[in-house]
Amino acid sequence: MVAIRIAGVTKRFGTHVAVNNLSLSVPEGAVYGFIGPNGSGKTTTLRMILNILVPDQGEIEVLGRKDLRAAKDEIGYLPEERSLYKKMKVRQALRYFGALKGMRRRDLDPRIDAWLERFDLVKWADKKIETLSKGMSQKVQFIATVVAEPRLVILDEPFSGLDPVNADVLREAVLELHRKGSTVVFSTHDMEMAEKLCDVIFMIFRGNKVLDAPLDAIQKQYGEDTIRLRLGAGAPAIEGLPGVRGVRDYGNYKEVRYAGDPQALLQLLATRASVQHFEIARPSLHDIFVRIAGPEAAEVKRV
Amino acid sequence: MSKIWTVAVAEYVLAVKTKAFVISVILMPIMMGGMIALKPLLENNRDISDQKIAVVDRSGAELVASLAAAAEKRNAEAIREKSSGEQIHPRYLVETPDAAALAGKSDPEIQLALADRVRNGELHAYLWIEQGVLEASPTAKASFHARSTSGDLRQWLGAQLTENVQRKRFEGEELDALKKKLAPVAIVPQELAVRTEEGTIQVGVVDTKGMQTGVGVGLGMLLFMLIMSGAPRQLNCVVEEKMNRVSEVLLGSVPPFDLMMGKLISSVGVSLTLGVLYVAGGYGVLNHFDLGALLDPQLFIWFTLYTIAGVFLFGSLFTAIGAACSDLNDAQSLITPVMLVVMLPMFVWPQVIEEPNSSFAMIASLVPFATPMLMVTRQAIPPGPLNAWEPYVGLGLCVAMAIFCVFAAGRIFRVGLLSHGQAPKLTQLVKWVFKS
Repeated sequence: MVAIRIAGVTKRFGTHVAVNNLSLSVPEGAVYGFIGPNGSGKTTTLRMILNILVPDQGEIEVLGRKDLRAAKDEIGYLPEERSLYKKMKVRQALRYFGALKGMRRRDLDPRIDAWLERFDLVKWADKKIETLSKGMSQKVQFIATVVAEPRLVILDEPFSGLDPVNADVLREAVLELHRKGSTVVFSTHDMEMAEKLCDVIFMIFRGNKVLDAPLDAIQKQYGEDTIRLRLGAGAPAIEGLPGVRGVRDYGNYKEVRYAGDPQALLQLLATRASVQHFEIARPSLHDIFVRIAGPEAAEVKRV
Repeated sequence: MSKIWTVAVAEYVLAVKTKAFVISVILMPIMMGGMIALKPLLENNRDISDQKIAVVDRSGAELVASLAAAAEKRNAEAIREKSSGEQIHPRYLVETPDAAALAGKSDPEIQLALADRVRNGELHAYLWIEQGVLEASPTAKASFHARSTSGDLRQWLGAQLTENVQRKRFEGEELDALKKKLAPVAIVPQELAVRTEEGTIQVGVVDTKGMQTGVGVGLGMLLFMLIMSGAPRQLNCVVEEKMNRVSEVLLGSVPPFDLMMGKLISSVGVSLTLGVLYVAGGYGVLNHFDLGALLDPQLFIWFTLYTIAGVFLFGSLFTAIGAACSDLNDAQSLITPVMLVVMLPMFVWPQVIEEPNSSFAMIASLVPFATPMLMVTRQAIPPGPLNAWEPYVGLGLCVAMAIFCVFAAGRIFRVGLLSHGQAPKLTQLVKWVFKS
């Protein structure tokens, strides 16, 4: 079954085309990564799925329903910017957001208790949200998103600003939702997290779909032209060597795009410096993203 | 519908838990109860210690003795409550300065000595009667000196001094007879004569129109206050939700129109809660003074209907502005034209109160934005609007306008809530209403 079906959707704001003839199919139970540069049409797409915005053209079906208003109760949405009523108490806010999803108090309360327990927030249940730390309010916002056990969860940058411990707690919660059968749409700029979590990556650039495939397939598509290497101190620059098209310095290692025989490059480097690490790798999602949307990006190639 | 109620209940609970609301509610019984309770309380705690007054008379009319006699008479007859005999006013003790003590001293020196006695608490005040008072010399006067020159004592002394000087001036003549001849004619407001159901003609009923006008003005003011306390709060709330990005989460769960309706219903709830408390408090006060009949129950029903229509009407406008703006500063420029409309009834209120059944008052009270405040005022002032249809038509037009405003605000709300950046101009808002 398909959780989200988008068919030929276009959305314009005045003369600006925010989303251009987009078609997408998110299978139920998948963790689908939405990536794309700022202003590329990601949030507009999410808002159309949530029926906050209406497409100018095309059709959207969510959880088998064409009437998206009817699907709202089965969608949990965590927006990028944390948004809670500061004057509300934690439990009160969770009850409110749960009730907006059509849940009754008696069904909500045990779930709220369980989530608060899990996130170590029990003692904050009757405190006002304005008294919480950023991490705590982020966890409360996450609970508000999932407390009604939605079939489709849309998370926009859920881990931004979280320390590693809290990020792990939240990531485990997302994976548990996935294991229980929820479809997770995960919008992020954190390519590493997208690589780790997502079954399928969808990338939108200037309103057009430019990627929509499992990570493995995308990496295959972009070839094995990436070499990770670490050279000893005092090594001369490798930019300008024959076949080297781009060098990205990550400090501990360099990532090089190389057209040619990697063995030839290794031999060449060995004559110039001490080679401490040499790895033929697939391009990272980060690298693919930059190739598509970076300053040197060519024309948009729709898929 | 259930989501509208969920929003309405949550917003209502949030609103009634604010300090502003709690203060409004607490203030009401304090104000109403205070009027009843404070009066005897203040009377019971009045300072009734003796007040000694030195009187220096330079008029040559020997007024001190008559003032002292008047004070004694007052102390004997007018300082106790008649039923209980309890003293409720201070005794006035008039003192004539010792002639020996005054001898050889200039007037400024005497005044300084008396002033010192006032300062050290020996005297409450002193009265200096100048020469020429008896002859009604234009520059002659009596001066009163005390640490506080306000209060009953100065007034009492003034009245007694005038009385005694007048008697001296008319010595040998029939002052009382003359006063009788000069007595003014009182004009007492009374109701128009009516034939009762028993067939008798009823005249001489004391006119309470003045008090009923007061009730009308009070209800109109209360209505204005209820609307003005609810609508701007709604604007702040929407702007805050927008700034905190709560609106985006809410829109993910609730359609924009339902969200706005929930907010408006919560506003109506808050306004009616306050309105009922205040009207009930007002009725309690009126009833305490045996004036409960001034507040007609039917008038209260109209008041409730106007409050509901008014909150929807103005609340929707303020909510739409809140949705269109990204912060409160932006909202200021858009609020101005709406505030002018809100203030409209205040500008014409005096004329409406003066002539509640003039053509002007009738037309003004049929303008939907002014109907709630003006019509309820006109209905409270007897005999009420001349045509029975006027309140119905007024309310009908007001409801129709409220429905239009809610519809238009819904359009602005839907578009505005997601728009960030520069505030739209009025023309753009109109475009949102008709083109979105």
